[in-house]
Amino acid sequence: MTLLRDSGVDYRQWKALVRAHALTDYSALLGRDGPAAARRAAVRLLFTFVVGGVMSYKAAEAVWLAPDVFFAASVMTALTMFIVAILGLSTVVSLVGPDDFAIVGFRPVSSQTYFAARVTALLLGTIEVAVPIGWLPVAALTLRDGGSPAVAAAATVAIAVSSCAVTFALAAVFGLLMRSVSPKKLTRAILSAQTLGFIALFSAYWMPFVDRRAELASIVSVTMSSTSAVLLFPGTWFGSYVALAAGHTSWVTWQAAALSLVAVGVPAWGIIGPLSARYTVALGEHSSESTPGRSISLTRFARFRAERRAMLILLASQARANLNVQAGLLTSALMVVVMGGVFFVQNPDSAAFVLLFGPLNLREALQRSPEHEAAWPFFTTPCSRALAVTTARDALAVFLLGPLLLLFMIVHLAAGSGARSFAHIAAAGLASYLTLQVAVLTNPALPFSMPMIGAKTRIFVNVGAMFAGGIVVFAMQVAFSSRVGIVLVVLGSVLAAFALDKATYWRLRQLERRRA
Amino acid sequence: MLETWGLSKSYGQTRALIDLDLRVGPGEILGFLGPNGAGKSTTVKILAGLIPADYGRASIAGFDIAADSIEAKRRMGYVPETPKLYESLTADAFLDIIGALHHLDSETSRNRRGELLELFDLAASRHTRLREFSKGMRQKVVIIAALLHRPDVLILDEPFDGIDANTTLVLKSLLLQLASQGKAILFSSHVLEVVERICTRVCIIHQGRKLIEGTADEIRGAYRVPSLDEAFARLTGLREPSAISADILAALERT
Repeated sequence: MTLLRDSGVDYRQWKALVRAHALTDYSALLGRDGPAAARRAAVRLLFTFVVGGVMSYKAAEAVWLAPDVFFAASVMTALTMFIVAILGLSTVVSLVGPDDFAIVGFRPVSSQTYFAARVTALLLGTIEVAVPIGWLPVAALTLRDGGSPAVAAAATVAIAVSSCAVTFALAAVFGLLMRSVSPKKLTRAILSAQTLGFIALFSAYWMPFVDRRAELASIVSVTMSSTSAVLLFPGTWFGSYVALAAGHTSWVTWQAAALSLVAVGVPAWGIIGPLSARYTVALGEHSSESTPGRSISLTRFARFRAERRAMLILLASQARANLNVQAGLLTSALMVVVMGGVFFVQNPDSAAFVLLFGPLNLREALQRSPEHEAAWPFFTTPCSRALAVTTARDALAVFLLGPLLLLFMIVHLAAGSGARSFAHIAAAGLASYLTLQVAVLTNPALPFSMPMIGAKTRIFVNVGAMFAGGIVVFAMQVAFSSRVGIVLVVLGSVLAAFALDKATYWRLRQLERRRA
Repeated sequence: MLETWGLSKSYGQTRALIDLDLRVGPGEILGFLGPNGAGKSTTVKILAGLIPADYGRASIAGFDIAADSIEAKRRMGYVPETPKLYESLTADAFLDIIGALHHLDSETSRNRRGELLELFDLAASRHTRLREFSKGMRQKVVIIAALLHRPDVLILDEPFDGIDANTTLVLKSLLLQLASQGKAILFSSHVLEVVERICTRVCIIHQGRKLIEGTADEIRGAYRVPSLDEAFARLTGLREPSAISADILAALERT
């Protein structure tokens, strides 16, 4: 309390703001939305622990197998720090352009208090990420030496402190950047960094499938050097807690532990001091900046009729100007490329299978939007939503699936894979379109019409659609033995695409009639 | 109570506000008028401390909004044009948080918001999420939030937006009574009849500049017109309304 007061933070106001944040973001989990919502939130939380476990499984395995406890703990903290940093970038956006500045900005709340509340919200987000990611490596580290309580405690503290250090560093860096860079540019930089981070993480996960040298067996044989050079690796700073708890005391581990305090202390000092004092001033200055928009040329779409024109203008405008849409599309596309590369190294013929889930990912990225309520004109005008939905689907196929197919073809050409691989890609392209059609048929939602949070993820729809596409690819593989077989399967696929198109129109009309 | 001196603000190349001087004394209700894009919202946002002015300064109850913003904001109640709320919160929780931000002790805050919710006909919905509120109900919550800490200065940007007729009558009477208690009120609105009825003085701005300031009678008299509407139209260069509407209909017919 004294520390808060000395830093210019009003405890009561800070508590009220943190309460508002908690009630907004954790409403369901706190049981304020009724028992059913609380149950769903609990299941979602459990699911994040499972996903976190999957993400940190390799690290946990390394922790389990590595003979050197300092190395094992450093791997654990490095992984947690990296994932907290990547996921934390999305919450840092709330620091750069907080949603509630329009509510709080004109109240007698000091800049320090408001900044402290925002950083606390970031820390809550960090806990939300770090605990599901960290539990498996911590368990592995604890159990590998026969269940030492001291190691368990040190590992937990290491995860907590390293995550705090990352959050403080992010807050300090972006708090500093806010003084000179506009929120729009900053948000773009954050989203780009996050996209690249995701891709790095995703690539690292698949690396052992590509490069045998990256396999665990070679990694876990590493023994941490006792020279100060290891201190260049930030994971060691916090991993040192575990080494010290396990009795591995050396000059380097003590140095590492000291560096961890610096890593937390320096950004924390920045946050408490100079950065927080000018925070609301920076927000005010940036909120009145003029931000000229990049508009698209409408004449380009003049030749399209009615609903098609409306949907194409909407898609093009969002892709041009909406940072979230750009980041979503880029992440999905890059994931397809990375996965395709991994499959290609394993077996060039199988790379095209990746094209099955690519469009589904891209469609998912397009559907969720904070502006979902703006979809009302499609429901209040006499437009055909069937036409709007199928236009969006086909635009996705032409502008996103098309370039991916082209890329895969170029890679095959460069690798000299020959005509057979071309046939595989063409088959996968067709199957991919069928997959997309099935997904749209079963869940015919308009783009940008679903909320970011709360909308149901149609996992089974996507899995079902991919299964349908997989059957087509398999049928084509079988049919490659004869020319008649190829023609029959291609013809069958084209007819299936035609039938699916009609079925989608019919289903959407039925839905419209039912609504009417 | 509320004063500005040479307030200026630009957005890129666009000059939103040019050298604006305003004064609203205790017991006054200043009607702040202007066509869309005149600079009203910019002025109001500067006064509320949401955006900084490029030049000039503003004070609320004697405190500079830039240099002494906390003290200024402590004495100010603000109703924004498009209010944002914590949608997941109930009206009661939202007002409790606002009370805490204004340092009201919890008992005072509870009693005061309870009474105000009752008087604004929201008592039955006090435990309902704000996202389920209608536009008018949300506006009432925002008005309560602006009054909760008994401010000396009220800055109201279209406060009657979405409010039903009965509540509008109550609010008009409330504003007059608040003014009679010595509060200074800046009332920005497009509804000229209301401005004419309740404001002690009127200021009209256009393209960022103040065009005229005075009582409604003085402004009407200056242009020798029977209503403030007509004076406003003349000042802001509106063509004959019937001619414009005829042109609109013709444009709709043409293509």
